[in-house]
Amino acid sequence: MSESRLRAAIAALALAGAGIAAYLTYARYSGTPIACSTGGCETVQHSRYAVVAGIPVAVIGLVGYAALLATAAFRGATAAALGVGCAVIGLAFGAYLLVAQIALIHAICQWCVASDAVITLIALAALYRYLLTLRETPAA
Amino acid sequence: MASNKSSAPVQAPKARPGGKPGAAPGDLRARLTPSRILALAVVGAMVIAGILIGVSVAGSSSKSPGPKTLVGEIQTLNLLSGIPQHANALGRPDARVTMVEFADPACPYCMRFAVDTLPAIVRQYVRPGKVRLVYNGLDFVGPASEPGLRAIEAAGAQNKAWYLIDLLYRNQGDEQTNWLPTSFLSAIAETVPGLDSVKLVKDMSSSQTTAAIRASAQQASAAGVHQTPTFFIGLTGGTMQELSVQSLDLSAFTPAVDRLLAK
Repeated sequence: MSESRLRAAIAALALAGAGIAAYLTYARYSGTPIACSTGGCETVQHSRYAVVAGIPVAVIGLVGYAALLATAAFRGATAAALGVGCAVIGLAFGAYLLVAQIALIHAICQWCVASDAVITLIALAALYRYLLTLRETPAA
Repeated sequence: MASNKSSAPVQAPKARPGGKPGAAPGDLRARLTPSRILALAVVGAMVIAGILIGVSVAGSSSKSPGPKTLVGEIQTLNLLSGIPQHANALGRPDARVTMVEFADPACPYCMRFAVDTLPAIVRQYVRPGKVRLVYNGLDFVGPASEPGLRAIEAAGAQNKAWYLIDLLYRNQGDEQTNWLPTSFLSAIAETVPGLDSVKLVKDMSSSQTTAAIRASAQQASAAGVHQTPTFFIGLTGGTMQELSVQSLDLSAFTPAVDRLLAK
């Protein structure tokens, strides 16, 4: 797979993740009930883990996916490495929130799990893209 | 005349190990090889993720009373606006079915029911006038139980109890702490349209409120309620039966409600 295809895949996944984050942000500020088949979305969204330093986690996610989208817009090893960095932040924080849902809140938010799946795929794609850019960089 | 400078041999600077050839030894760009950029990005990412997690853990384990900012006002207003309230009852008095909930304002499972399941019950049954909900408050879970329950009873005297019930659950804090100081309670009450928050705080310590709490505790004792939330259901004006639920999901409630509505 070429770097351009990987960039397109990362961009598509980042858009999907941004869509999830945007929906949760909209629901939070508009008061709209969250569509939820797992039954725990509102519990998670109203838990104290849903806010970091006064900022809703959904908003942080939206900013993160926007940053990933930006890294996919540029070619080269630097953009690829920054993409890996952004994905690592999302992966680590997503894993922490998943543990909090299971062990501390005792409720699962399906949208958060979907976002975790998206960021995992982005992290794998971003790492592969970085390795590919190294291989494609002409030797000095 | 040619200058000595122009005729002097120019030697390309040697690249440092790992650096780009042709760059000056002190050149920052030369040092930023792809592997170093990745290392910087990953280390930076770990630091940022660590800060985010650290701030979240610090915020969630804080023993300060109550959340700093009030949440859920819009959800509560959207959910309850336009539905009749009388004392601690929500819904039309002539609704066919009445469901009674024994609950504690500081009980985490009551909060789960309130934020995850109650909205669907309200939309599906209470708003159309089919079901009337009655909140019988208890205060044994934690330090915030009593002020929370007193506030609910005092809001009930103004026929606004359910706004407060819903907002208290949406802003519930750690059950072992008093997350409901008077200042936060007033802030919650002030978001409810038509609720006199000054009167509410005053009524919290009235003899009527104390009597209402005692009556609720006596009802719970007579009904054999040992845990919260506990539900009773029946035709309005008829005998109430305990509703044993295996979970707090909507599906645990709808069969019993639908069966009674079909009678």
